[in-house]
Amino acid sequence: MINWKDDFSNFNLCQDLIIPAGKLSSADALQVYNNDYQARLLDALCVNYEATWVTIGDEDFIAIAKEYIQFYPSNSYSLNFYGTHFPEFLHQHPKIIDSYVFQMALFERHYWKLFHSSFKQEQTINELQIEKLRFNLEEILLINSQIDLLKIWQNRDNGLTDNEVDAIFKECNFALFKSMHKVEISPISKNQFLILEEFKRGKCLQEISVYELETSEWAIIFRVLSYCPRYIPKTIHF
Amino acid sequence: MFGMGLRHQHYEEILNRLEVDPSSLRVDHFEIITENFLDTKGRAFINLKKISEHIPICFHGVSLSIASDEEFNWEYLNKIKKLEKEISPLIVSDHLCWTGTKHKNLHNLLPIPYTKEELNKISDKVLKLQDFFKRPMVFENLSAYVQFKNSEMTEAEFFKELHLKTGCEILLDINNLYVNLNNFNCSIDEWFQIIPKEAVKEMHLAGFTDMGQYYFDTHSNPIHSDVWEYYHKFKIKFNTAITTVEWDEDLPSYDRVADEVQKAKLIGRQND
Repeated sequence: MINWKDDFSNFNLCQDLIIPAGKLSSADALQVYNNDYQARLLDALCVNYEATWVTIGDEDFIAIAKEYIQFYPSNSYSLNFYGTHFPEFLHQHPKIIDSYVFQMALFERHYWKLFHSSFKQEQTINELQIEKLRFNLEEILLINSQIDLLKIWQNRDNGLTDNEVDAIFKECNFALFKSMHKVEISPISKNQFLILEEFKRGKCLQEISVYELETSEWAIIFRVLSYCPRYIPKTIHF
Repeated sequence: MFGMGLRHQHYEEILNRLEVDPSSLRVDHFEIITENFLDTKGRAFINLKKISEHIPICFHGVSLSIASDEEFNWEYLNKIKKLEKEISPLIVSDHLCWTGTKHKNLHNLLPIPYTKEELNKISDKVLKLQDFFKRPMVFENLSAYVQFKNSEMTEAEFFKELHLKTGCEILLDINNLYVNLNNFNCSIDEWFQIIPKEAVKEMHLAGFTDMGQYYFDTHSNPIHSDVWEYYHKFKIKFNTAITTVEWDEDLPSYDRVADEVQKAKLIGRQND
């Protein structure tokens, strides 16, 4: 007898061993389980990468998602995080030419990671020490895109109207981070983005190139940094 | 007790009512899909913690895979145990099925042949599990789309034997019984006749979809009138079992699901 519990593909070989439900043939009855598996994983990708789905469109998203399911079977008890490699899979896929698709997927993967992460306490930054403080920005995602990804994200439930589609072709910078219980998405300027990137490389304020910023523009930078742990680096990447 | 599955689409409504008037929730308990809370410390967990301070919670898992030939996934079990300490659930349940292998989770509740060999293997695992959790585990009957020709007993007989051998308890899903009645002409009455009264800890009610060639357990519809009738009968015998209404696909408003819970409550009271 086939050890059908070794693998689902063996389970599919059980046609002679089973009684099918209702008016189904044995093959069709086994197919119910196959289809259900596909549908659950596809659902998980559609939920975890909803805005990426809107960005690519139904046809390509479903086709690529099905390829991904073949390539990466689920090995976890939960589908909450299914699709861990999906952004890179998209990035390497011949159908995906635009880099913003990869960025959108990176954004969504990071969003859900932060969504499930624990409470993040704000830490006061001492103004006297700020020049020399270094921060670990590992949990902060910084995005600089030529497409307004935030607009797509905000409209992911209903899609975009034609006018909205025309309006998304503009540069967009933002920081994605966890503040207390919330996942925060802060739109930032290009200079704010560049400064935060330098902090992310391990530099302190003293070592960061001078960018033209108003005092108020520093506020968002310090707000982001206030949710980052401080650290003493071994090496700094210039 | 009469309750419903806790679904994230209803969080806002539930939390608002907890603030204003918890009795307007019209449930005695909520049941969670355990796996959804094992790897989160974010909003979902915070909401669950808050809700559990007012309303008792039941754990209902879908990935235990008690009928698998492989060893338990201990990392997974330890996470359930940790969550159990944090939430103190009324019941910890899962399904009598297998769900895949170590390297591939099929996210399906797959049936087994009801043989003495399987019974012995599963009994040993259930005893080990109960020793780990220090409580009786509760197992649900499946809705199935295949059955095995080499089964030596019925599903009801298998559950009864498993209960007698291990002391585990039963989550009797009336909708699944009805789906199987239509898919395989299985006897529902047999369950009523042979399952000991004290074995049934919980009953599930849900809606299925008629796919033409077979019935599919989708949890996407109101509870069918025939399922209500069976529930009425079963509630007379298994009157200490709690009842949970499940609704997953095409989830309606909180109150629509709560209406089904109320209906179950009325039936339960008629039997008192």
